[in-house]
Amino acid sequence: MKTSSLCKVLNTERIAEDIYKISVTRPVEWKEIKAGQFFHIKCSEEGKSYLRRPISICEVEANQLRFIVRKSGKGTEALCNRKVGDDLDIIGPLGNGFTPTGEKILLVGGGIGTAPLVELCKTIKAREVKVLLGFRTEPYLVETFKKYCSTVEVATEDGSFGVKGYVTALMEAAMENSPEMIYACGPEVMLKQIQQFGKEKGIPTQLAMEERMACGVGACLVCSCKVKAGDDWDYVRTCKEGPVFWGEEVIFDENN
Amino acid sequence: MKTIDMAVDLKGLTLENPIMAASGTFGFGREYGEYVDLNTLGGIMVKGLTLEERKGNPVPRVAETPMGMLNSVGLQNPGVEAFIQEELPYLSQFNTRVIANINGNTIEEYCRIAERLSDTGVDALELNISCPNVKEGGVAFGRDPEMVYKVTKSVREHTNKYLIVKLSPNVRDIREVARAAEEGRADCLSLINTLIGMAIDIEQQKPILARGIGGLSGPVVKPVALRMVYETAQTVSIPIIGMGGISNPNDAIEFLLAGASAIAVGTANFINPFVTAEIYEGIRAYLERKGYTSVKDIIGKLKF
Ligand SMILES: Cc1cc2nc3c(=O)[nH]c(=O)nc-3n(C[C@H](O)[C@H](O)[C@H](O)COP(=O)(O)OP(=O)(O)OC[C@H]3O[C@@H](n4cnc5c(N)ncnc54)[C@H](O)[C@@H]3O)c2cc1C
Ligand SMILES: Cc1cc2nc3c(=O)[nH]c(=O)nc-3n(C[C@H](O)[C@H](O)[C@H](O)COP(=O)(O)O)c2cc1C
Ligand code: FES
Repeated sequence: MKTSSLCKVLNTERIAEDIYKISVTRPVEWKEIKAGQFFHIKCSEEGKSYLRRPISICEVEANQLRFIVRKSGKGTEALCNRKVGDDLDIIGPLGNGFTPTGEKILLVGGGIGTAPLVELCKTIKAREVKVLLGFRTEPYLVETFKKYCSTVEVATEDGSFGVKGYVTALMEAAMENSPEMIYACGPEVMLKQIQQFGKEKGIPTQLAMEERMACGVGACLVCSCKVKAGDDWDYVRTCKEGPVFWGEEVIFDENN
Repeated sequence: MKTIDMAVDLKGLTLENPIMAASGTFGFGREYGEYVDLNTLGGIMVKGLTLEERKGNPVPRVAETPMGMLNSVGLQNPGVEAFIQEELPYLSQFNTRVIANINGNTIEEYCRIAERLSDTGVDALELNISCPNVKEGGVAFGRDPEMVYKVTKSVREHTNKYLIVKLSPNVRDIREVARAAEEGRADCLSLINTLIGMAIDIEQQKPILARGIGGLSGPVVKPVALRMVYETAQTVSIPIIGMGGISNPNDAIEFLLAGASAIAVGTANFINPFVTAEIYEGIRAYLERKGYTSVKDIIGKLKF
């Protein structure tokens, strides 16, 4: 039987504007945690937000877990404001996580979507890995990636750091040493481009998708992701069959 | 510890305890079965079923509201046949009542689903005439007392199963529809389904839900649900399953006092997957503290 757990906040640190690194204790019952999985967190005990919020695992240590959270509304704001010593009510790990395959691997992260790639990068650090990161302006986690991978390239939209432009602009150059596999997490427009890119180059992709959730465990069916099913399509649960999907199966909505 | 009798009698359906899981919030039991022992639930109302598979509505299907949420799932389900083949055998392993929530666009469809389920192991049917998230049928049936009477009576004639009619709160007077369902020979009423609501993203100046509107649930609806259960209990003589925002033992006890013979927990499972077990323990502790020996002793015993 699964349990929910109270994880003590060990540290919260602002690492960029509106971006916080939150470290919590790791309960012993959470034995296996895979990169790309997420936790469903009760952000506020005072009713500032009602539903839990899905947050990806960023780094797994023997006795602690790290999340990177962007303040983007009332729930994440309450979460970033939690104090050291507070108990966070968390269920998880949830979802499927990435399937690491291949020896030559490209990781592409955009904004807060860089967070789940850290643990993936750590898991596959013995392989030939290249990391491309994109931010609007201020970058974060770059040094963390450099701990596990020697080639980390950064693009910022305003050119304040690294190459000016979108992270996808770095992808063509990364093809010189053609990867066998691409893993990506970030805004939908970025994932859509990577899906297309992988298709053109014949490289399999895995994309970590986001969708609004309620239960987080597969029971309520609000978090549907549209995927191919033979000649037809189907809705599957982002929280259960996802949040990581193979690029070739995802159907992005036309109007986004 | 004193022995306290937690069983309830819904006049034709007995439950080992009054705590059920509300339809659409508990899937077919598998997911929450990893968090709570399904044998400890009085009953499970499964996700709403239709004759054929339904894919449901586009996303976003959920919007948070103060102390609640709006959903517009749109009855995504694998269809009654797949339920019988793939889900029912799983659910039947447990010592709990399995209630099939059934939905149709026409009276005939309701009857056909009811018929199909009649010789299966489900313990009861819950007629959902109150879903706000589909274009046809659904809430349209639940609004008009005449239609409520007709659909209840027709389904009654097509099944021997224990028949629960689930009422919509989106009506002029809950007592009228409750009476109509009783006259149509429902064995039991369940209420409330969700209240129709809306949320708007002011930056994009668009509704948050892809379909614009959705069903409101969670603590925010509890006072309305409680009032409706109370009014219904004053009006009909068949048993009532109360629901709407129940999130802790106190909420559940309020519904029992107001006249519900059993209660169902929906949205609260999303916040706390263990809530049903906590409600069980809390009701037990309350009964013990107050010196009761059976949960039946508080049903409808509001002093007013
Ligand atoms: C699988 C998964 C993993 C995620 N991992 C991270 C992470 O590691 N770090 C991080 O900062 N954020 C992550 N997010 C996004 C994060 O869950 C949302 O930013 C957060 O839910 C917003 O809540 P809010 O109250 O701050 O914002 P509000 O806008 O006030 O939220 C209102 C409602 O919309 C939902 N919502 C709004 N934006 C999103 C979104 N992008 N995705 C899902 N639901 C949303 C909220 O959950 C809430 O129910 C992840 C999302 C998913 C689905
Ligand atoms: C995500 C979701 C899906 C639902 N699906 C159904 C359904 O398929 N059939 C039904 O009769 N009620 C459905 N309901 C309504 C609930 O069963 C319940 O009546 C309502 O949510 C009020 O209870 P609560 O506040 O405890 O959730 C759904 C509710 C939610 C939140
Ligand atoms: S959030 Fe409930 S099924 Fe995914």
